[in-house]
Amino acid sequence: MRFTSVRLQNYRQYRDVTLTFGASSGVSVIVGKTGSGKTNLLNALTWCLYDEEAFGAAEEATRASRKSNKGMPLANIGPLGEQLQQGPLECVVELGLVDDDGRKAVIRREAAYVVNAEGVPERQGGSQLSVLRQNGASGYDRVEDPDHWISRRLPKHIRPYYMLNTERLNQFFHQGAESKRVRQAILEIAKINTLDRMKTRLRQVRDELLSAVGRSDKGGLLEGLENERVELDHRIEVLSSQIDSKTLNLESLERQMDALNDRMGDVDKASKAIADYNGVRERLQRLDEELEELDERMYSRLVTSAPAVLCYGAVSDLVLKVDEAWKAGRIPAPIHPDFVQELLNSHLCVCGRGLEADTIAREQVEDLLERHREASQLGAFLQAQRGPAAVLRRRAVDLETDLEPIRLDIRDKETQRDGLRKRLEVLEQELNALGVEDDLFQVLKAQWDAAVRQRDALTAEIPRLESKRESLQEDLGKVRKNIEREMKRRSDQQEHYKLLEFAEQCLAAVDHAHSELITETRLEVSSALNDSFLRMIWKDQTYVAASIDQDYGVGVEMAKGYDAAADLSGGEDVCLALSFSQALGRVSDFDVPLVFDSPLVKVDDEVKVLVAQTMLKNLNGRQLILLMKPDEFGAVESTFVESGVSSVVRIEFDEAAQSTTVVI
Amino acid sequence: MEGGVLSADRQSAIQTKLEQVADTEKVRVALMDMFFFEQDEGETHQYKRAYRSILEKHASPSSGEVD
Repeated sequence: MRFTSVRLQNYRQYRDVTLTFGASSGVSVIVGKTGSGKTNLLNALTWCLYDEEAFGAAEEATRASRKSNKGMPLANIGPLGEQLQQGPLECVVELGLVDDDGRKAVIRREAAYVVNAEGVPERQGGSQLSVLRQNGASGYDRVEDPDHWISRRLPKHIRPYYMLNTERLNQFFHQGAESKRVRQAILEIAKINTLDRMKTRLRQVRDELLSAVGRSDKGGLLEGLENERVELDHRIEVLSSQIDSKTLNLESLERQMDALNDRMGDVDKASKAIADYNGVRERLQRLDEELEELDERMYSRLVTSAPAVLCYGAVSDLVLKVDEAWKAGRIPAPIHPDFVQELLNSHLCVCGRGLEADTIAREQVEDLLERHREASQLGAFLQAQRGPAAVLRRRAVDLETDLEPIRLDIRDKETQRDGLRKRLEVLEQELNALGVEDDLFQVLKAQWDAAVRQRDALTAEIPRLESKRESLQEDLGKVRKNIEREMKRRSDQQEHYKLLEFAEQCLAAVDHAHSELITETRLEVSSALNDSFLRMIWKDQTYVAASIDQDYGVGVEMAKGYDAAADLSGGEDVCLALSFSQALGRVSDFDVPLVFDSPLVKVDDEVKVLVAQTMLKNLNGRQLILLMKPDEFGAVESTFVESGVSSVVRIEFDEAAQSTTVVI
Repeated sequence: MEGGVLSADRQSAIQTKLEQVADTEKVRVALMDMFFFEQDEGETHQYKRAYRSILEKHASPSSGEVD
């Protein structure tokens, strides 16, 4: 990459200046006195590229303005005061360059300044960066991400190695942590930090893998899950077997029931007929029992009242007749037995005839008397029986009264029984018509009922078992998922181990490559540093070598064997820094211009020549832009001329215009 | 790329060095992939995934590489 020009508008003391950098020798020199704007030209470049002014007073001003957040005082405020009063003032730096591929580009940074309410100029907002890049034809395309575009070509972190002024050169190895800075410089300039990044990233990936391996160390979990799975499998298998068995039983049962149904015909109808038959039979039986009970009641009643009734029955007609006869006087009054005896004894006879013993009359009288006596006794007896007969009669009437409802009930029940018997006969005929033999049907019905009970039990149990199996299957599903997860985790773990091992191998290889490369690069830089420094230094009897040791310490070996790096003079420090910068150029993978501001002011004229010669010799095609004081340049002008350097521009500060101008 | 694009010469030098130090073909190819990733996508924040992917791709015996 080469810078071709820089245009500064309203930038510090530059009102509108364009400087071009010669392309022939690759070396451009800008000569100006103190205060002419050399350092601010360097600042213009760093501001344009990185939005910062890195050198001299401007650097301090930048820091202060950043703290106060007022923006950098870039614009040439003084001489442009009137213009500022009229409106915003644009401060612009445009850097023209040719990219590595030969295409031109223009980097432009601009910022606007206004006068605030207090009448003080201040920057309006931030600066704007743009990059125009030459396209294939003659036009330019605007680069979408200019910061990114710049960072890929001129990253900010390498700026300290290609843009330097005297102070930086002088302090390069005296700012502390030199070895770290030297190592960093070599890594960054040589772009070996690519391997550094690879190492860092591999370490991070390896650490993640390590962490993952650590997290996944859960021994015994899978075994436990596997046992649980086996147990659940077994339980489900048992349940399935039970369900299958019961389902088969149910199917078999249903087949049996179908067969039973076939055998029984219309079981419901038959069952109803049987039930009716049995019902009628039961009712008939009950009626028989009730009739028997009524008979018993009647018998009992008759037993208690029968003698009276019988007696009444026996005597009632007689009593009635006697009573009638008595009333009619057909029954003689009773004759006292003594009278009869006396009559007989006195032989008196009714008919006047003697009643001698053994006479017919006497026999007739005696017979008549006997019959009379008997009739009298009977009449008396019968008369005496009239009272009891009335009692008996009442009892008989009462009995009839009691027995009548029983008789009616018996008659009614007998009527019912007759009806039921007829009904039973009809039902028997119906059953016969249905082909139901009562005993066989009962057996079948019993089998049917048992089958129904069994079927009901099975149809209730099978869903219960299925529900249980479903629940177990859900558990099994969870366990299987856990097993899968655990298996995957184990697989991942194995994968992690494998990856970890591989990452370690890769990391070791990158580390090895990095170590070798940086050592080789360090040795190359060390060798170049030695070459340059010994060329630049004039005390070739005093200093015998300059080197960078394995700890990246820069040493200058004296003839007597001492390390003089810490005791170098200011000029010698500059030589060492320039040598290091040149040595970095040897290994640099950035084709960036070297821009040095007043690099030789601290060394004597004869040394200036040596340094200039060395710098020109070690350029290796890189562009060199030197900002020099007149006397500094004067000491080496002939050297540059001899080397073909023709691009020399002189600048000076025009006090009247309060701006820097280019002197032709 | 972070820190600038590598020149062809530097790229070649680093590649050569990586190839020299790789003990196995798998490591060599993985390092090359990582190196090219750095050249092409080095600024992405997805580098962990990319590196992991490269490691997974080449760590497996089935990657077809012969040591």
